[in-house]
Amino acid sequence: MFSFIVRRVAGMIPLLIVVSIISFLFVHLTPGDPIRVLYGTEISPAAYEMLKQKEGLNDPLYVQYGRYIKKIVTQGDFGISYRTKSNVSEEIVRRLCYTLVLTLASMLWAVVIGLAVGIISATKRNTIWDRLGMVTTITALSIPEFWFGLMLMQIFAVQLGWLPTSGSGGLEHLILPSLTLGLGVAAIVARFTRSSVLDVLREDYVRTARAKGQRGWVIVMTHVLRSALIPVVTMTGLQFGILLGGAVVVEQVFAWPGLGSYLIDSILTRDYPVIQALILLFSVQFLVVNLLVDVSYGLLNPQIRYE
Amino acid sequence: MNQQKSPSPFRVFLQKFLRQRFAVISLGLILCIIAVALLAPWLAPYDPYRPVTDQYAAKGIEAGRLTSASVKVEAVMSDGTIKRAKELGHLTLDSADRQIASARKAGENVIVNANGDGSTAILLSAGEAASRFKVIVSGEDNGQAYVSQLIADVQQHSLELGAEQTAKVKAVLTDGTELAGMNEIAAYVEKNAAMPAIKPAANDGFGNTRVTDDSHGLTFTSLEPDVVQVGSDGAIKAVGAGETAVKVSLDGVSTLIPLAVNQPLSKPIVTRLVPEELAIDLINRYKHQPPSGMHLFGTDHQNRDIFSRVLVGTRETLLIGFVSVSIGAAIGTFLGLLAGYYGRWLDALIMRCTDVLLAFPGILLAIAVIALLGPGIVNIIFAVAVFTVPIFIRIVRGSTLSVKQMTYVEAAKSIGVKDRVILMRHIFPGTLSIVMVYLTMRIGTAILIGASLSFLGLGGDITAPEWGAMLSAAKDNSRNLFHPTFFPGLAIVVTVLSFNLLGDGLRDALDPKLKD
Amino acid sequence: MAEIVLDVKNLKVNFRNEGKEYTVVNNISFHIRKGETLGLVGESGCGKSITSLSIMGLVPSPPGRIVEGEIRYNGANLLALKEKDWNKIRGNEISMIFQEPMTSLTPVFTIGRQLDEVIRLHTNLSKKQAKARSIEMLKRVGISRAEQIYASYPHELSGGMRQRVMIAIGLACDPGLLIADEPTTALDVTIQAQILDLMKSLKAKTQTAILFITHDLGVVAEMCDRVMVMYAGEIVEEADVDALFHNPKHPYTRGLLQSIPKIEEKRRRLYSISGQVPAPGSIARGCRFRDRCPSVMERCAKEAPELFSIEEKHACRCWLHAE
Repeated sequence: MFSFIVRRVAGMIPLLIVVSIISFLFVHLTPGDPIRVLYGTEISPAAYEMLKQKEGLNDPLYVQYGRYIKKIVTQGDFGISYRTKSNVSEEIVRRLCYTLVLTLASMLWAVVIGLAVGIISATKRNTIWDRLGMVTTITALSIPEFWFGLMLMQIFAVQLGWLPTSGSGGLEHLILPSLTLGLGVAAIVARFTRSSVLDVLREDYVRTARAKGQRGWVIVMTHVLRSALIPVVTMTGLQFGILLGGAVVVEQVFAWPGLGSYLIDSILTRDYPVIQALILLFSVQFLVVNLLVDVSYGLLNPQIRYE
Repeated sequence: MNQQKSPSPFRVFLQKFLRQRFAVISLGLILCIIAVALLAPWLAPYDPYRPVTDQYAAKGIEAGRLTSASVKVEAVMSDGTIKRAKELGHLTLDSADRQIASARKAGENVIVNANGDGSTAILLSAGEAASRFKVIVSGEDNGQAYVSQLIADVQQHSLELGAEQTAKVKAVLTDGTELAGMNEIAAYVEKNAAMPAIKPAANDGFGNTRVTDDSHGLTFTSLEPDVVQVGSDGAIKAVGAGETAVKVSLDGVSTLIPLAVNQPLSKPIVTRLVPEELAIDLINRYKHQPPSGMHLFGTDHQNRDIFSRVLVGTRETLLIGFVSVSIGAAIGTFLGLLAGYYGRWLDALIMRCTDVLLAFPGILLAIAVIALLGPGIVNIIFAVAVFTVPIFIRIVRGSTLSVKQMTYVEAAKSIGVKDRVILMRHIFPGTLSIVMVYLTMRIGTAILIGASLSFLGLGGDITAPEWGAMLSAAKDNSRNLFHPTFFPGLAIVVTVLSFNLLGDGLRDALDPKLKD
Repeated sequence: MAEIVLDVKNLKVNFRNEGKEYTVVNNISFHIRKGETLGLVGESGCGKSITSLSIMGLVPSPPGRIVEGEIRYNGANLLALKEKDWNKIRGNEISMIFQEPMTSLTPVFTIGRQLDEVIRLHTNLSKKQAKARSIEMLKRVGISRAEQIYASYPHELSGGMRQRVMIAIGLACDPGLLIADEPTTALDVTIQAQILDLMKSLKAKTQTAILFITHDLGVVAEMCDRVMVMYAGEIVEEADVDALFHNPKHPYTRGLLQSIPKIEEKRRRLYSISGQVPAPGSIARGCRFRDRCPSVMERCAKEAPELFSIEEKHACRCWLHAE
């Protein structure tokens, strides 16, 4: 098990390096001179050269890259924002928590709704509930998150006034954005759960469990779910990427002060150091979650060994 | 001879496909959507780029009709007869907020004009009698009910000297509620006094000079205190011979109770005014018109016809979907074929690149591309294409690997057919069915991603009639307005749903084993 | 004579497929006495498994449906039971061993958990006591390293071991009736013999009645006291095991017995019954076996034969024996 994790992490490193190179190149491939952006366009050529030397911009690219990575790894320093002239890391730390809370809450919705719909659809196969569930899920997969968010906002915040329209704060601020973000993944989880549970329901051991005199729903909740959930957990974990991407959109809709809205603001203002840091951070988060999913798959399934 | 003809694979596919009701319906829908995209400039009732108000004249639509309404006003006389407004010489009209609506007299009716969004009230007064009705413009009801009319009566209008009686008062609010009796009215007044938000509107005047805090409460005034005296609780006492009236007023609205002491009432006077309606709805034609027969989906913040914009936007939206997926699928299929067929270092190289692309979760890959290239519609297409490539590489590579094992491919190889020919003639057709299925499904996704990017403001031109951009432009007003966001979003849902259902149907018809 | 444990009367089971209903088990009656082993023999698809599932109340529904009949266990009609009461019978009074030991155990639970489950469902034993009972059951079915197996997962066990576990589960609550649905079919021949020996010895120890379903006449001869032969949803012959092997009456039974390869005969071709089992619903009237019968008569096409009693305890559904 331990060696499996070590090997998976080792396999991830080249990928991380490539991803970091790509994000590093963001500042260097895009228009805009960092010195002039940071220190103003009015500085004298001599001062300009001096600053350029001081910032290390005259060094070869690979030296700059090395310094960039070293700063990130040793100090967690992602550089200075062009727009606010402040440290990017501080802003990221401030906002990271919001994005994590939002994605985790969405995952919670997705799992709760998705599992419930999937299990009901599978156990009541070919009934009206099953059909309704499947039509609803494919519709949910066709709804743009931002529109769904606006509609929820209109209904629950504007018309009914039950929940705040946007912003952050208490738990009530979290409900609409997380529901919006969780919808698509809930639909994927529901469809996948349904097919997985259907597969398991056909298994002989379900019949064995019934022959033992076990009650139907107990069989579904123990024998069936325990087997059916193994692929579902894996697949659900892999949807984390969709949540991270979706968070960018949903945060914009609900003015949620997370990393996603920070990214969009930075793109619109061409604040490349921030873009660079966020792109790297998002993909690292994603890769780490994928690793965790792989490991949890092994913990859940007794038939898997890591040799 | 037993010549049993097996049906061609295509017919088998067609039969299976036609059995999927949803998929067939969605195919029909998609064809309709494509037709709309092609014919949009002719189908659109208005020019999607210009405010509709500029276009009314050309279309022969009388714009004024939309924004004004006429209200019939009647006066109830003391002898119970009804008089028309034009018979009242001195009807005055006063709007609480001229920015929202104004009124003027025209013949026997009152014409109300909308000037801006919101709701306000218009006070009608003739002599000492006054009534009010509410005007709501563009559906922006502030939810407030104003006092519309007062109805007061006494048991006897002709009194003996020294007789006493109490007036009965009823108030009608603009939302139709009736407040009967002093107690209910007092409760209403108290409640409204406790709501400071209402005060400015009331203090704004209604052209009434006697606006003080007291005037919010119900007041009784005798026009000639020598003849009758009246208390604040409506108790009337006849103190001298003559003819007069008691004026009852509440919040600017007033009515008269004619009274005569020791003599009959001589001529009828106007006791109260009755507008035909308590509240009227108007639309503001200068922006955000709600959906109506003229504008099926309403108009947006620049007063452009949303229905026309949705129709015309179909083209751009489909273009993003089709072009980006075609490019992505073409590149992805090509690389997937190469990786699957040649294997070894080429496979390793292509797959590692795919891994890198897939390391950027979901829509973030597309966002990163936009961040690099800058906003714009062409860049969106390119970004969505990049987003599509790795998925096709993976699928086609897997499919190629399995087709490669087929005997007919090995046979072709053994007789010395060139690799290029084997790839094009033997392997590519084998992967075609799965490519078709994913192509269809990815178009739906691509439209979603494209719309999301536009929504985020990464589409460059926010004024373009593209569904995502329309939503982006409308989102700032989404709190108050429903229709500018609802309809473009619905168009996206219908289109994407059609592609998804069609993809599902294709998949089931081509190979049921592919399910999930 | 021992008391009757299970009494099935006029059982009829229909299956619905693409809008049509087919009768897959038609008018079957039989009984099993305490301590008796009844063999149920027939080709695959003849309705044996559906018969056994009917007794367990596990006919998949839809598409299956018990149309009529009675299944009496110790005098009580099982078909009148509610699902809740069925669950008190299953695994407790009547238990079942299935054909596929490889897939009949839940892969994600340990053997112990699956044994404990049935014990705790039907007894008031505590967790600890249930574990002791499970280990005792594992030992009783000939598993020596019982504690170790208790904590194992099914995929760590061989097919024979798993079938032993299944038998342990089946017998854990001392059922009155054990249904064994082809328990040895999926196993290697040597393991088959071990399992049959085990079942025989267990049978000798307990008074459990067994309904033994198989398509293998050799297994029947070894295990059973009495045999029923099923064909296309009907019982075609019923007799004591000796009578059936030495004096088969129905042409189908004769065919089955002839198709067993015998070591002393050197034939060039193995005997086989010509033709195929008719699809359910394809025969509207007459004898269901007539298309494949070597001694078919005119009467066979017109009327369906009843189950004629030939001697005491020997009955046959064939016009040849209509006296």
